[in-house]
Amino acid sequence: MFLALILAVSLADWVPARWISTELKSLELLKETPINCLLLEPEQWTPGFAEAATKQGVVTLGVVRPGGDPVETARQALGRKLTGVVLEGDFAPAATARVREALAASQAPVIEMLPRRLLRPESAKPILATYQGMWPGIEVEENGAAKAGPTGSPWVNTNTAFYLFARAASEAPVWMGNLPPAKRVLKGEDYLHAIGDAAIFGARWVVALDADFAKRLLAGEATALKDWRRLALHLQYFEDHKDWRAFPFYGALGVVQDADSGALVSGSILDMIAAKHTPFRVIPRQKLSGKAIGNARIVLNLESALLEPQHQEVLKGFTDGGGTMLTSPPDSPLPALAGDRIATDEEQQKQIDALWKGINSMLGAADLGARLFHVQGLATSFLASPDSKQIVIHLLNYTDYPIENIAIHFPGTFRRAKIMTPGGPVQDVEMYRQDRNAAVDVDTLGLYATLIVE
Amino acid sequence: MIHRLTRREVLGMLGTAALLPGQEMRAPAPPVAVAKCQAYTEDLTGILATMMDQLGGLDRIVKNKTVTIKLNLTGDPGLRLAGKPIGSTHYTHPLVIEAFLTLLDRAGARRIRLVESAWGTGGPLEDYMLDSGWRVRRLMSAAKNVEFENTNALGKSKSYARLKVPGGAYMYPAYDLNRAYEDTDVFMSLAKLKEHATCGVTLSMKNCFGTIPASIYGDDAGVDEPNEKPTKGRSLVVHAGKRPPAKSAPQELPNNGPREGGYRVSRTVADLVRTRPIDFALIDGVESMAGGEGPWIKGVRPCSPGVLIAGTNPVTTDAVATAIMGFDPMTPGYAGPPFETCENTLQLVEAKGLGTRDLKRIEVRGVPIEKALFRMRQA
Repeated sequence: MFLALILAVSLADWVPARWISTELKSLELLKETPINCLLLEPEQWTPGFAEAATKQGVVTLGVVRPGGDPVETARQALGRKLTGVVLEGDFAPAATARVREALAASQAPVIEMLPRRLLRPESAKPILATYQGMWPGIEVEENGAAKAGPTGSPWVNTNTAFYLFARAASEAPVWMGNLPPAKRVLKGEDYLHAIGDAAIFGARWVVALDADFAKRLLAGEATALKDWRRLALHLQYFEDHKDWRAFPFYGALGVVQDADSGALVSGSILDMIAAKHTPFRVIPRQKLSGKAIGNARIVLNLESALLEPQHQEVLKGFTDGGGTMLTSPPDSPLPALAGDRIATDEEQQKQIDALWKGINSMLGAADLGARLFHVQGLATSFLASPDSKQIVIHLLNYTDYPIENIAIHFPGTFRRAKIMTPGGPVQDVEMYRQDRNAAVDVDTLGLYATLIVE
Repeated sequence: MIHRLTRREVLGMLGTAALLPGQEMRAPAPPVAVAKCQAYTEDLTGILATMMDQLGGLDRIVKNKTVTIKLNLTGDPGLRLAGKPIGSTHYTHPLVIEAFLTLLDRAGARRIRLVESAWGTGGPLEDYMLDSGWRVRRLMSAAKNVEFENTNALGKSKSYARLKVPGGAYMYPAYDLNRAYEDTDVFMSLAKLKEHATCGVTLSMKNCFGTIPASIYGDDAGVDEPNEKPTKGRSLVVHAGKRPPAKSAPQELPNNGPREGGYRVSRTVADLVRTRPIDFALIDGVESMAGGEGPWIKGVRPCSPGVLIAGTNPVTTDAVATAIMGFDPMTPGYAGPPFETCENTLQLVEAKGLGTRDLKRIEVRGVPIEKALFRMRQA
């Protein structure tokens, strides 16, 4: 009972990492980081390490993969003093149920880290986790040039759509357990991008270092230690601002889409809208209601073929009340998850191009809560405090150079703005009027910043 | 084989008088001012003020006038070269614009309109500039009555202006342009010093290719009427001749020329600068790129020519600028650098009497060409 209570309280605060060693001294590396949950492969399951971690306040989870008897493997993990297990892979629901049943008495946590197509965000617990994600960064073509996306600007591969949908559909904490890409030399910034990609949407990336970084870090190499400290600094920054995770997404555009119509696919319409830095909220079809629409002025309905009468009634009420609704044609289904593919391919991009052009043309420069300028190569997320008095905008720079002179315009009246960065001081930013908008300039953006306006 | 101009050849161009064909002799040859400027952090206002004085003063041109300035903001604002701000590579630098606005204001310009056909959009030019990382507020406060117009579509007007090409057109008998180009007392081209993949060089005259609206001449221009929400560039109509402009506009004259940009764009530019004459040319060559006009051109690299060039005649100004880039402006089209694959626009407009490209006839005030020489092909 005591274990269950502790887990229930703290599970939402777990900061996970796939750990790189079972040497006890490796735990020293965690001391200046918020990482408090280690995912360990079976060969790392040693009672001594698990106990030392526990003593340090660090949870240990054994990674169980398909193949063999998952119940037996999970029991082995607990037998070696680990706190719980992560079922990572394409597990049949029955197998998962057997593991849960077998571990029920111990109250050990069982986390499912699934392929995206098996995710059921509305019922996920205790954590919504997947191991399938885009490795975030600017897409580079074979000749080394940045690839221009449908928006005309450099296309940034992100998991934005996934996070927006997952957060809207699920109450559970969201973990992204993707691994660094193989056969690629990664810089420290690449890890910071992976952390930020999840964190700016209130999710957590399961820290996973490539073999070279891990080796250098364990050897105490100075540059690896420096990168590790930066990584810790950024993780800590988001843990220091846990309240943002409870903030709803901000924007006067609501997009109705659900998992069964492609909301979990990367590179599709949701990501395209996000790439335009348009503030918007995803409204899962299953949650479509007047309350979910809230103060949206425009609703984009990507579910026209799937709506049930009660949903249509909600949307009718919205338009009757003066709202604008854009509806995708019923005969143009959006790409769905299939097999291990999680992102649209070139052919699917062509298929949705016409739909995207229509949407883009209709949304245009419509004032949907904030307009951002000079943000090519960035990912952004928009949150509002529950009382709507505070707007939080995360700016994550994927380019390899600082971005100068970002301008952000807000409709309405805001009087104060401040900007925060990991490890940096909180700085007031001048707020001025630009036509009918409140406006703020960000002089220079390094890798990451949070702008707060009130 | 690429022929690079040597310093001796530059001096030769300047010092050796030669008889000119009659029409070139008649072409005007106003002076050109050249100044060295190694960085945008230098006293741009002071440097430009000196240049304006060398040209006889700005006030005689702009006092109590509406001034329209065509900028060079080519390509999507999201495209950078080597991570540099786009004003340091392929856009006119905003600090040059700001300094020039200050001088125009001091000289008594009544109203100043900054214009450009912003790539892929008919939206407000201010938004495009903000997307380029420019402080629009600073531009607005640099002078009184600064306005902005995106000439890629109708903009703030209700109809297009039809401007006929005087003295025989090369490509189109007239062009339908945003009214900003007609409703002005003074028209200026504030260009960037660059090579150009299609036209050899892009200076004050080639900059004016950007006056034509994509709504009519763009890849997604309307078939019959202008498309007031253009989203693409302008390759199919003028460059490639693969589709006509919107039918509402004057159509291409019959010609047997090649359907390629080196021929067609150069000739269109030669039309445009006579259709909408440039009253003042200013070329920003403080920092730039070599090898082409934008990051989308293979092999381009940042460079720092460290020079500003200005004049009241675009032909003489561009001729001097071409020479400063290490090329001979007298090189005939398709005959050598930088015009290996294109017409020489200077030659085309000189033939129409717009101005001379013959350096022997052009007085350079300020820094001599040989002292400002920056060989683009070696950068």
